[in-house]
Amino acid sequence: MNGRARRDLTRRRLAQTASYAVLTVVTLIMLLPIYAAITIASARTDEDIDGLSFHGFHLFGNLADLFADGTFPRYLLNSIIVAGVAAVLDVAISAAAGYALARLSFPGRRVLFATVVATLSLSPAVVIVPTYVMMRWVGWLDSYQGLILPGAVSAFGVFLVRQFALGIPPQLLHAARIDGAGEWRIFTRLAVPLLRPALLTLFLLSFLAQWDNLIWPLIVANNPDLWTLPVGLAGFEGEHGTNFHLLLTATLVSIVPPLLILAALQRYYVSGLTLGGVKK
Amino acid sequence: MERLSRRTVLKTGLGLGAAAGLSPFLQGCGDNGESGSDDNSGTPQGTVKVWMHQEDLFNQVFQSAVADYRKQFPNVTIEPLQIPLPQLDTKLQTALIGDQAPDIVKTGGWTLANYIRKRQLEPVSLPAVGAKSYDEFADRYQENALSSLTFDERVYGVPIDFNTTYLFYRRDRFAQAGLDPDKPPTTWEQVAEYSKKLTTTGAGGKKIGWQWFYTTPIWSELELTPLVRGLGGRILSEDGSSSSLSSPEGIKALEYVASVGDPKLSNKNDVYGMFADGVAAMQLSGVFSVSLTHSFNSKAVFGDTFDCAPVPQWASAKEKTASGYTWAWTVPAKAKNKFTAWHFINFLQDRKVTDASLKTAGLIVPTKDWQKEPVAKGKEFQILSDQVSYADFGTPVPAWNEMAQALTDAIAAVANGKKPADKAAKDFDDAMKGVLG
Amino acid sequence: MSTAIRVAGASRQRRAGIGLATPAALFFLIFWVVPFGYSVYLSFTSYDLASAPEWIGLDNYRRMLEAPQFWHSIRVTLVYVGGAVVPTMVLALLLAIPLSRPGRARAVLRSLIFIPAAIPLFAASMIWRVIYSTGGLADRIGEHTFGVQGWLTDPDVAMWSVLVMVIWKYLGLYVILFVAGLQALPQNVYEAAAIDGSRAVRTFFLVTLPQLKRTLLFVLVIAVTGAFNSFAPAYLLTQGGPARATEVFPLYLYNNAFSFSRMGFAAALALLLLVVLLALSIAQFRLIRDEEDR
Repeated sequence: MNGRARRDLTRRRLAQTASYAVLTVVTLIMLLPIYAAITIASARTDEDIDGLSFHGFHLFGNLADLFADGTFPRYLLNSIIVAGVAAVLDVAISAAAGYALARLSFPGRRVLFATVVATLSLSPAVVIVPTYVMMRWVGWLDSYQGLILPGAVSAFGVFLVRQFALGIPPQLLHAARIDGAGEWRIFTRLAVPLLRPALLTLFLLSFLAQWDNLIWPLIVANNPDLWTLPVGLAGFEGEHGTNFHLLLTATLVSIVPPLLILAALQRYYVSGLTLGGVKK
Repeated sequence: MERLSRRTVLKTGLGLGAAAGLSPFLQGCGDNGESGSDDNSGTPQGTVKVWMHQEDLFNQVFQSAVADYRKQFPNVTIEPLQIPLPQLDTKLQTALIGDQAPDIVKTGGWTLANYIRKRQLEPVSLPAVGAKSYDEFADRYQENALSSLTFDERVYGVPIDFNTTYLFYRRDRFAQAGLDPDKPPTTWEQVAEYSKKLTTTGAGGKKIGWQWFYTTPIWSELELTPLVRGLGGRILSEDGSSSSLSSPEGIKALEYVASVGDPKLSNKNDVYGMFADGVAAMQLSGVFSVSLTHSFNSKAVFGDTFDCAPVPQWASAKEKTASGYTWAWTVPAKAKNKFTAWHFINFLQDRKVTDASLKTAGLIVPTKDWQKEPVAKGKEFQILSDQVSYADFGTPVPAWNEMAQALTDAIAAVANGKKPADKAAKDFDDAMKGVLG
Repeated sequence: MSTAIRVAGASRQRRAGIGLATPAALFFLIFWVVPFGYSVYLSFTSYDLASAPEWIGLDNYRRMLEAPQFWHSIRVTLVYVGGAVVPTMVLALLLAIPLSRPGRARAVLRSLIFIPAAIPLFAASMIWRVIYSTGGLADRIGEHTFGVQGWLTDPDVAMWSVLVMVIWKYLGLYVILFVAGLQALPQNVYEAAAIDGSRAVRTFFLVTLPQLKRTLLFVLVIAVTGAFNSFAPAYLLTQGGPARATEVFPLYLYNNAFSFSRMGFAAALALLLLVVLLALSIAQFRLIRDEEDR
């Protein structure tokens, strides 16, 4: 090895070390708020909070207090119901429509696809007023169906499945038809298994988006028995009193279910995002 | 219900101020008994859904009252629902139009005009509250409490949790600053002067004298009203159809708000929390602060660490002024069980319950002679009973939410130095042109 | 295959297509198309939910253009969108370049940086509300640097505080997307970008960045869309205050509809937002379609 090459190598190593140092510092900064949240959620009272360090570890006691209260478990349960049901609905309906759009020809296909594309970036906020009025007409305010249905099916979901379904070779479907398989059978036995990665991606993204939905449950659910975690935490304070340590204990609990699902379906997350972007 | 809501037998003078002003938007409001089914048989029965805001101390009183009521009327089920205070009004606005309207709602008197204009509340049912006439019913309560619930000569709620504002101050901080804890400021000029003396920046962070609420619409009104009225001005005209904050009085009041207090300081429990921690030495608050301050800081003891006094006046003021408010039990027009709702409300006015709510939660039910009750002995109640005679209970406007939000914006803009007082006042008046009237 | 069978097959397909697409079509009809049409109608009315909508023609639109709060909210939203998108993307790209190289340590760092992105926005808002509270983490850091500040109570500071939270929340997501984009680049381009030294910056701008254009545009579109739709941070951290300094458009809309019962006015506001988002929908679609064409 000559001197120049060695110098290059040294320089490269130095640069690499520097880059690791910077990345590590950035990572620590990114994790600092979470660490701070854990210290606060572990405080016995708010007076023990100093923003940075642990004063005792009372997290489990706080959890017990939280779950003894009655309202918090209800919010958690509602969130699981709402996000779970909405995600399943989204997957089922988007799977059918996405497959049909990609691989079947039927009247109205273009119109449906145009609608899907147009609503791709729209948020519920743009139709929140009329949808609210409609929910009132049908008497669905303060009900699970009112909470779940309006936002359940997303353009993103239909679009995502369609993109994936375009990858199903038409010859495969053709062969199945020649074998005498009915269209429904082809969809359930052939297409759905092939679409499995897309459907898992959609389930994940849909669940995460529903879990984080604040504005719709805030409006449609007056009854605290129907509140989901975002609404429940938004109104966490009593008349004049707020307990930060309990608020953050509740916050940490509300992070766990999406984190678990995300961890389980991690590889579908990245593939879904890079294909279709984040939902809503 | 039909029969009742058409009756307009109110004592002369009772609520005329409010009624006269409101009549333009209440015209044709006589037939609001149309919706909701009702059993007027005179037997309390069925389920009564009660909405109120979260208030732990009062909840204890309420729960035991429910138990007592159920003993007497086992056919009735009371279903209370607690909503956090900041969300109560938004939730109510949507609940009152739905098919699942509650039967009883604890409503802020200041938001009543909005609901009544939309015909969403029911006038008091005389048979259910056991009164032969409105006179008889009206005789039970303090006049000005009832008048703020009276629109077009009809009473739409039973007053509870009735309050005037007070000066709350920290005796300990006064002593530290060399001020006499037994001589709280009586004028706004003194408040400013004391506030300066009480402002320190030390190891424990900044401590200040006076602190305002900068983000709470109801407090914007309760704080600004005595300042403007004390100078002889008004925020809103008497009939609520126009605003006049950009009068010399309004502008001076806004300038005063900016001259004391620190909008950048905050506390998770707002000014109440700052006062309980001693960061703020003075605030305007209601009688509930006696128990609330202690509940936020067990070391803060009323009469020892902190105290209350009448609302300060301007040195030049000819007449005294203060601000006040009342909450009310109301029954939505769409309630399904109206008779039992009023019947239960009436039960809650029983002396046993009102005494308990005064004692436990510091909430005053303004019955005619609440001051004479043995539990109302404390000095805080004496001050209240003096102030009631001259307190301004607010001008009822249907667009109260928008008005009070704009008032809050004006205060925040001036206090933060974003706008001069005259500009903020003018912006408020301009915004109100499309909102009031 | 005979024509008869093919025709029968086509009609079976048509029936299946209709059957499979109908639930979704109904959903879009009921929850997008009808509300959209109804929204257009409501935007020409005065409606407080209590009494029937009253036709007022263009008044809501006129009122909108005349309301200082409307323009204020637009300005706030533009600052919010710019502040939430540009710094996050630049930072994410800077991080993604070293992080996209292979290696176990980098994979670990990638996962750790991603953690905030896995936290729901409402939960992140709660955490930062406490961080920004008096005596909280921000004050503790502020004490040693720029002095203690009213992070959420000073109108000049509050928006930046909210934006710091938003940047923190989305940085990890964009890093992951950029890493995926960088790793998909042809090996030689990627190698060139990976060279350390004086030429690296030049190579980056001349070679890597143009190749990454599609990923950049894609992230830009979803970031802008997300920012325009953003409601939770402002609602949960500041309620739009202080002095409306953080009243972003969706919050302004929400307040008008559900605090002030101005449904017609809010419908007009919503239509404006819809136009902006529709443009973003089309941009997003074209990006993805171009991807297919490649």
